[in-house]
Amino acid sequence: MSQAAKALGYTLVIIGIVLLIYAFTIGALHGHMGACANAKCTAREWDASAYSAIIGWFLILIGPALIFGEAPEIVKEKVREGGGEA
Amino acid sequence: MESYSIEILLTVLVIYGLAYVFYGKKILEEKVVRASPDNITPAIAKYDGVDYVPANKYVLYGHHFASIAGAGPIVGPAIAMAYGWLLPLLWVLFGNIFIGAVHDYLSLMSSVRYGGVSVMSVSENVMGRKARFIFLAYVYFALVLVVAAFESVAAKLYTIIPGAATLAVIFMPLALLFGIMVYRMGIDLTKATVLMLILIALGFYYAYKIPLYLGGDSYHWWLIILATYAFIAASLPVWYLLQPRDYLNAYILWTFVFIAIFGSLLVADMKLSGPAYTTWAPPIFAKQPTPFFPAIPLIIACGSLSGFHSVVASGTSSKQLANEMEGLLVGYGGMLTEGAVSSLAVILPVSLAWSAPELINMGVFKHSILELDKVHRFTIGYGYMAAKAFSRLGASFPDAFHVMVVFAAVSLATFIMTTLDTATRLGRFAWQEFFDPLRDSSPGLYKLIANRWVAAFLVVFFGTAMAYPNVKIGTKEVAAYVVIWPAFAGTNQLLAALALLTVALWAYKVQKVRGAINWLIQIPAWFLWILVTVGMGWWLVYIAPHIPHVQQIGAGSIVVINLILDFLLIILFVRGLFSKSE
Repeated sequence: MSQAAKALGYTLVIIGIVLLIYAFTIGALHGHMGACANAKCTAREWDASAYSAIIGWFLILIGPALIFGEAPEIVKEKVREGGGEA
Repeated sequence: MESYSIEILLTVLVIYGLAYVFYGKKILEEKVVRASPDNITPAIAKYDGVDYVPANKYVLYGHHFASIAGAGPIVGPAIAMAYGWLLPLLWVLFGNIFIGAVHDYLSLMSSVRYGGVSVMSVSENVMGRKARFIFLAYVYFALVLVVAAFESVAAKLYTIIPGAATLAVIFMPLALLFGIMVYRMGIDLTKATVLMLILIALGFYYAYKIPLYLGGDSYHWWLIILATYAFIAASLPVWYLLQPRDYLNAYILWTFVFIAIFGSLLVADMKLSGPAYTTWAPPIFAKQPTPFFPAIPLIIACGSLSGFHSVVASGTSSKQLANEMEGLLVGYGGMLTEGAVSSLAVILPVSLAWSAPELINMGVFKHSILELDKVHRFTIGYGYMAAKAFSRLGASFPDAFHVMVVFAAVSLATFIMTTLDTATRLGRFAWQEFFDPLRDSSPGLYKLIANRWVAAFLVVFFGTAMAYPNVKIGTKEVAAYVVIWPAFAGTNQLLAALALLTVALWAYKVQKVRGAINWLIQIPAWFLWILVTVGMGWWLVYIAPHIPHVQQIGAGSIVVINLILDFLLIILFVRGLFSKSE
C-alpha cells in the first residue's frame, strides 16, 4: 500500500470512529438512532445520528483495508510451514 | 397423539451423532475420499493472500457454517410449518444425512483434490468442458437469486426489528478490530476472543435498548445499504473481514444453537401445542394449494440440503482448508449443525408456541402462529421457547421473551449478512471463471470484464434489481422475497442435485468407489433431481401465473433457463458415467 492510501485509510478510520461515537451517544440520549415521525414511532425519519451510523460503518469497513493492505505475516508463516510460498 | 419437546430433541441429536461417525467418518472420509494429512491443500500450495489463505479449522468451520446457514434453515422451515411439524422434521433429517452433508463434504474434498477449483470446474474433469460452462451459467443465476432473496429478507428484518440493525453496525467494526488484534498486534487468540465476546454482549445490550431507524421507506434504504455492503465486503481479502468476522459470528451462532438445545431440555416436559400434521396441500405459495411433494424442496432449502453449499465448499472453504483431515468437521459437520438449527431452533420452538395462551394474551397473534409473517414466526417461536426455559430459572417471562425475540432476530441477521457477502464473492468467482478462456486470447478484455470490482458489482446489481420492487398479493404489499423464495429454493435444490451427481461421478470415476457405497451416494442424488425438476415444473405451471409480472420475468425466466441448463447437464452426466476415460 502506498503512503497516500495509508493516510487516506487513517483519515477514514478516524472520521468513521467519530461518526459512530456521535451516533451511539445520540442513540443513548434519545433511546434510538434515527428519528420518529409520530408519537408511536410507526413512521421514521432520517436524522444526523442515523446518517452518522451508516456512513461511519462504511468508513470503518474500508479504512483499515487501505491501512493494512498486505496479508499479515502470521498468515504467510502458516503458508511457509505447510510447504507453500508466501 | 401428544408429543413432547424431549422426543424431538433426543431424536435429532442421536441421529446426527450416529450419522457423523458411521456415515461421515467411516464411509465418506475413510472409504470414499480416503483423506490424508500428508496431502498438501490448495490453501498452502496456491497461497495468494486474498482468496487462498489457510485458516484454523475452527475459524474455517465458523466461516463455512455461518456462510451456508443463511436465511434458508430458518425461513424455509418456518414456512413449512403449515404442514405441521412432522413432515418438515422428517424432510430435514433425511435431507441432511443422505443428501446435504454428503454433498457438502464431497464438494469440498473434490475441490481440494483439484486445487481449490469450484464444483463447476470439477464437473469439467468428470463430464467434459461443456459441462463446466453450463454449470457456471447455472450457478451464476442461482447466486443472483440468493443475493436477491437474502437482501430482501435482511432488509425486511432490519425494518421490523431495528435493534438487529444496531448490532450489525456495532459488530462489523468489532470483527475488524479483532482481526487487527490477532493478526497485526499478535495478541493471544483466547484473550482477544474473550475481550470481543464481552464487547459483543455489551453491544447486544445496547442494540436491545437502542434501535436504529432509517427514515422514509426503510426497507428500500436497507436494500441499498446492504447491496453496497455486499459489494465492498465481497471484494476485500478473506483474512481482513471474512475470517475474523466469521470466527466471532460462530460464537453468536453457537450461543443461538446452545440456547435452542438448552431451552428445549429445560422445557422437555412441555407438550407441543402445534399439530404433527395439518394437511397435505395447505395454501402456501401465492395462496394456492401447495402439496408437500413436489413442493417441499422449494420451501425448505438450506435446512435440509442446498446446492449453494457446494459453491461455498468449493469456493471459499476449499481455498482455506489447511489439512485434509479437517474437511469432515467443516463439510459434513457444518451441514448437520445447520440441520440442528432448522429442527431445534425453528420447528421445535414454533410447535411449542403454536397456540400458546401467553402469546394470545399478549396480543402477538389471535389463534395460531401461522397468522404471522414467516420471519416473525421464527423470532416469536424461538423467543417463546427460550423465555419459557429462562422463566423456569427464575426470569420474568415477558422480559425474557422480548430479549430473546431480539436475540433471534440478531442471530438471523448474522446468518444472512455472512451469506450475503459470501454469495456475492462466489458470484464474482463464477463470473471470473466463466471468462477464463479470454485470459490468454484477449488479456486486455479479460482484465476489464473479470476485474474483481466489476464482477462483484454485477452480481449485486442483478440481485438488488430483483429484490427492489415490492409485490402485491391480493390487497397486501409484501417484500420481494415472498415470491423470489420458491424460485431461489428450487434453483438451489436443483443445483444440489446436479452438484451431488457431479461429485458422485467424481467418487465413481476418480476415486473408483463401487458397490453399495456408490449407490448410497447416487440413489439420493437421482431421487432429488427428479423431485426438484418436477417441483420446478409444477411451480411454473401452477404458481408463476399468480405472481406479479416483474417477478414472472425475473424469477420465472431464471427458473426456465436453469431447467434447460439442468437437462443439458444431465445428458453430459449420463455420457460421463458411461465414458471410459477419467
